[in-house]
Amino acid sequence: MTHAVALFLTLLATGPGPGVDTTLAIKRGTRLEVDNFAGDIQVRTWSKDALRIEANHSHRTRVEIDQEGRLIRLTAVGHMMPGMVDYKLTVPPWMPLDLHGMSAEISVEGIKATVTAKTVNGDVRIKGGEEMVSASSIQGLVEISDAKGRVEASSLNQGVSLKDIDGDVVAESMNGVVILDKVQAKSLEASSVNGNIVFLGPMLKDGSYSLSTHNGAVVVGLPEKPDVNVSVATFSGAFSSSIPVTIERTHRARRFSFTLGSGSARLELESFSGSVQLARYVELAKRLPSFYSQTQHEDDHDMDRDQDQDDDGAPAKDKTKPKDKE
Amino acid sequence: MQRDPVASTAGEEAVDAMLAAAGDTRAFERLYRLHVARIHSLSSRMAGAEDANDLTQEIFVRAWNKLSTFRGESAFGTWLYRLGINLILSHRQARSVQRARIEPGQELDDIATKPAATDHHMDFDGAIAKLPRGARQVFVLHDIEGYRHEEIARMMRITSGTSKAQLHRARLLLRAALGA
Amino acid sequence: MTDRFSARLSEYLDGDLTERDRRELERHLEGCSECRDTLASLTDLKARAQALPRIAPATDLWPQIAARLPATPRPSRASSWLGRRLSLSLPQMAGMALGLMVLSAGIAWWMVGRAPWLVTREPSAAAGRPLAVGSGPAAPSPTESSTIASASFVDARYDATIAELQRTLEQGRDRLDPKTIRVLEKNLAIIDRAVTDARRAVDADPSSVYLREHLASMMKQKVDLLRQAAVLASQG
Repeated sequence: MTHAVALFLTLLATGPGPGVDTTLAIKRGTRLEVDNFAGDIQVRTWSKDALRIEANHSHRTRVEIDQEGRLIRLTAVGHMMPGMVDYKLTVPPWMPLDLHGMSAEISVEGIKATVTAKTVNGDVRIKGGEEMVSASSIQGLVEISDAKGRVEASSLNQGVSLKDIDGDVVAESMNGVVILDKVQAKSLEASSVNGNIVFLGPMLKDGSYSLSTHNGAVVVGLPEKPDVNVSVATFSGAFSSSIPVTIERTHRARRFSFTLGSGSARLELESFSGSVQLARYVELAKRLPSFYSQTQHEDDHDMDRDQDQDDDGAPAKDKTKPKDKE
Repeated sequence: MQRDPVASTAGEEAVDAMLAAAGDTRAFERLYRLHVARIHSLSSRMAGAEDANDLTQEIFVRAWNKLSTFRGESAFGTWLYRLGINLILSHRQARSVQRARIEPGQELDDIATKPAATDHHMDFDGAIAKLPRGARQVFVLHDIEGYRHEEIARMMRITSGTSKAQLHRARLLLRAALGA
Repeated sequence: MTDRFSARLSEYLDGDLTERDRRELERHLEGCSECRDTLASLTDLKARAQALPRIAPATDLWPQIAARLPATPRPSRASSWLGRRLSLSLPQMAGMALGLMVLSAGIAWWMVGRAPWLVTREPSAAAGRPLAVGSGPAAPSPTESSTIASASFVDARYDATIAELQRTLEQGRDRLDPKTIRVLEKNLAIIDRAVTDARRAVDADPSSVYLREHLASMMKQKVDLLRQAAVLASQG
């Protein structure tokens, strides 16, 4: 049974000012789990085999540290209400992380192990991560960069941005844009209902790339000498390409395909009512900043505005315009 | 914060339930893997660690046999847990050392007269295991599994007033045992 | 102390008191430090209980369970519903171009791409000729000769899942903060519109595999969102 609690520490804020700073020596192989109701979780790394916990919280909140075998768990426990703590954690790069929060901004840098980060209201920003990186937010955006291994990222309400990834990818959003830049994947799936998908490759030989939206545009940047078989499906959207293509209509009108080069990679593009666009990578790269401004198109002001606005099924976004209503 | 082990979605679970109902044991195995931890936890905490493995197996075998009656009006997991809880509640314990049928009111004295074991390192689960049966079952169903008193009352065939009283008693006993 | 206040501390903690009783207890709490202490302990206890990890079995129990499952598929009651047992089995279906999967329960599944698409078997149809209908209430109109009565099981399952999730969400709504609720509702509206769009498109062009796949995908995303929301609402 793994539920025995071997070590149970409670950190209490000492003195009038809220705050705790404690360092624990840890053995290689230990994992860290953090459960925070509200407050930020910031993780950075150092070369010591130790875990440093700096926590900011009111004197009515306790930070509990449980150690069960190879797992260290931090929980914030409040007095008659859920715990709210701002954590700044410094860990060794080999330490796998499992971070959860309700209203928590999560930021992780420098980890060379698996990272899981989930929050409801808050952004997740991960730089690093190996083997498996999994991040999700309901309300906030998700940004992952410099990760090696499988990456799964999802945001319900805002955008997902993946950059400099070496590994397979699954990226999803309901209401936000999905941007994939310098993602070296053998298998990639990206989907959004209301947002655009922007994919700047690269596309590997024998790779399989699937981009699908309902309302948004699907935009793909191709290299100088593309080597890919492309299939496009849309209901009421338009297809355009700045690269000459010859369309082989092998299916009924809704789906058609064509081959560039020897067609070694497979690209599936679907947009129900938005447009599907192919462009040269270099052109697209120039327009990247405007795409990134779409990842965060929701802040507190917008939330208030939202109530008066008519949400009439946002039309496909114009990617050259900065953020507008959603 | 209880976290759901997300291995599949409601849609996929429904698919597997249908396949299993048609005799697909691989689909049933997927459902088993999805739900075994929770069923085993439930069994262990409600009926004791010794019987947990046997109960868990019983529950899944019975679920398989009753799958043809599962109409899909609720999620498979919900149906499975109800089935599991029914089985656990009617399970007669072989060993009754710590869990003998105790008259209401008796347990409080027992715990109170024990030397104050204010052992901060006492296992929370260990303390739960020492609760008298009725209080323990209500505590597990309410605080751990998240059922409401009305539902618990129905399942255990008691009134919701009794359920609330048992919960309160369980919490006070745990508090005393853990020296919280 | 077993006065009427301390006895109701658990109910207070769980939100089971009436407005009036709650206010009365809170007034009492202001002046009673013992009750406040007890309440604090009970709150912590409850939080710890909710955070308890699941206890998985130490060994894999599946082999023992599998050994007790009958080897042959059991006749399912559902098959008599539709009045006829299917003569096709899974292996036979494997060779079909569209990847149609047929179950003995009388429910047929299209496996198109990655999305399972639900169809039902029309009872009076000739053996081996399943009829594709939409999944969900907006199936082809009743004027069509092919009856959709058999689709009721399929519809019921999708609708039942949606209804149950919406119930859970409604019940737990007040445990979520307003911002989260707004975000969830907004995105539910988004996916609802997408499902409607997709349904209309399938109605306009029922033979398009892409449109059917897309509708199935939108419906699945709606179920996923509701499930996510329901989980949030029940955790608070």
